[in-house]
Amino acid sequence: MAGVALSQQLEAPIKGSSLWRDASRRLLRNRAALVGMFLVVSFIFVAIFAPLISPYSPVQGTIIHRFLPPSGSHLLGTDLQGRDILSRLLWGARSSLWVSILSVTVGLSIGLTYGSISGFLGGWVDFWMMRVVDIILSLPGLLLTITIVLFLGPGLNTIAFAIAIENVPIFARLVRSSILALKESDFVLAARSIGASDPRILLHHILPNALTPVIVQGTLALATAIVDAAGLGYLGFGPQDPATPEWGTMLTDTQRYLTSGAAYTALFPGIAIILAVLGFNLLGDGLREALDPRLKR
Amino acid sequence: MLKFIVRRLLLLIPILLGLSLLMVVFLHMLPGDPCGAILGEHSTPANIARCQHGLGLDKPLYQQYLDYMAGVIHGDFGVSATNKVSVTTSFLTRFPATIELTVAAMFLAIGIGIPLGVAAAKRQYSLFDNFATVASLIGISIPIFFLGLLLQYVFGVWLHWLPTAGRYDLGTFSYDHAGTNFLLWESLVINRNPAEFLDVVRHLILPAVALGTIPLAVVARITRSAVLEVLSEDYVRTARAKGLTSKRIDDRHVLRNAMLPISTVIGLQTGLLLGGAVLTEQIFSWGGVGNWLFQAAVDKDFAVIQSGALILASIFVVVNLIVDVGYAYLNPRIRYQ
Repeated sequence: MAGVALSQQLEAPIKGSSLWRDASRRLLRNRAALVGMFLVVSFIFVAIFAPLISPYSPVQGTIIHRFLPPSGSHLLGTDLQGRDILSRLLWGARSSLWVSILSVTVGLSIGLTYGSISGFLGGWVDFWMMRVVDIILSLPGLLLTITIVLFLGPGLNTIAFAIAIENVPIFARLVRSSILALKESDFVLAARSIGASDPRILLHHILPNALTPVIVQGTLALATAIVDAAGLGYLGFGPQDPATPEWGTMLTDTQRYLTSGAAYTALFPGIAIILAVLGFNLLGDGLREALDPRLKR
Repeated sequence: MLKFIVRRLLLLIPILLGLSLLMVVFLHMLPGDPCGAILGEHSTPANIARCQHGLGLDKPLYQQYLDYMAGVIHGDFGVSATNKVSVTTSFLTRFPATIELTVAAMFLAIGIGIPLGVAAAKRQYSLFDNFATVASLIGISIPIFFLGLLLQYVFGVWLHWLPTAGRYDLGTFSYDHAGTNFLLWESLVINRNPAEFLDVVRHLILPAVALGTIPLAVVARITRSAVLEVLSEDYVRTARAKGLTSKRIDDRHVLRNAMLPISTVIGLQTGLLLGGAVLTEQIFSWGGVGNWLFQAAVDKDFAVIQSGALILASIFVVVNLIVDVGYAYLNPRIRYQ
């Protein structure tokens, strides 16, 4: 019997195991990462379906219903203008999601291209390209974003653009250092020896291998973007259009009621920001451990 | 080592030149006219032209840059368009406030972060380790302005334990002619007044906690992973095998090697905080460089933004240089690369 079982085992097709399959298995076994994934998925779900799931309009409120404490009809209470806080939070998720995705996509695309060119070409080109990165990195980050937003005018897209500029040098450095390490590897030499062109080597051999740290950093950058956007909103540079609820702006508008018994009006936006940011941070940490098992300790 | 330092110092020159060029070009490119912002409702074409001539904005860009750099070399960073005070003077009176806040925040971050990280690493996967890991992740995820508000509410408004704004009690003490503007120093060493010193410390606590939380979490995380990495090294096993006490192993082998990445992170965080904690300084009305540059941005005060950013970026670059040199000193492998 044992012989039959063994021969069946031997005849069974060998299941291949790829980096991604291994990584997703490790990710799904990591409880913290699962919590992060749950938070991120909920955040995205809420942002997409806000118009369908919001119990009230996020913009319109009646003044006689102002500062209602959390209750059955208003789960998180109402604000100064009698607007439902839960509905505003759900709609606010859209602003945060949009800014974070747009800023990371733009920052990553530019940073990836810039870093790849710099790392792949090497030599003097690399030297000077990296000095430019040093310069941008040395500028005080939040002030740079504030200045950009101030001059380009408020709005979610401007905020995203300003945060993207802050992200570019971070991604550029990361990609460059991966590429510098990979450039000398045997598989690149092999590709070169069979006559692959430079762009082909870069796009098909080096970049796919350099992407793991970028994915991790991208996830963490989504968290930072949410905090930065809320920070700009808090300082008064959020979207000026009252029809676009934004978590940071909600916090500023309500912070003076912290002392007046309506503390919940400021508490809930703060908690929403923490949960969204924590989600991306947990997921980013989990991805890092899953994609690079050597880091798991 | 000397060669390494000289090489790094030479690298500073293109960075600082590039930085100044970038600031001038960047501010020039932005839409919005500084004179329009300064004059406000008084802006007529004639007034704007006079203002532009006064600020040298009617000259070609390269001439503006050269004039600016000639001033910078002589220590003249220009004059604020809104209050006519020289940028150098404003910076020097405000930077001590930022330094005090940064030092206090980093003091908390290092004093709590390193022991926390070490303790977590030594009890890996224990309840304590899990707690520390989750706490540091939450610490990284809390927006500074929300934490600041909570601290103000709980310790200021609710418990009445600590003041929530400013650097000292304006009603009791006066620092109008404070020489250095380092109030901890002024109150304790110059004025020798313990009550005054206590007042300054009490004002410092909440902003320092708000500002120090993220560095604390970052330091704790990096300490944990650095210590774990060193603990699995062969030389630690050897030390254990030859019968050293665990305290001696910790002091001589583990911490010393783990300090390499930790010190780098500490240096980087310090550089970041010195760049002006805009949010913390706003919430606690701190009056440091973060406050000052934020106001300049709101007023579209080009001279202050340009020079302030240039000075802060230069400080950041120099702090990084010190970190790199320190790193090379601690780790000979870097020096000989």
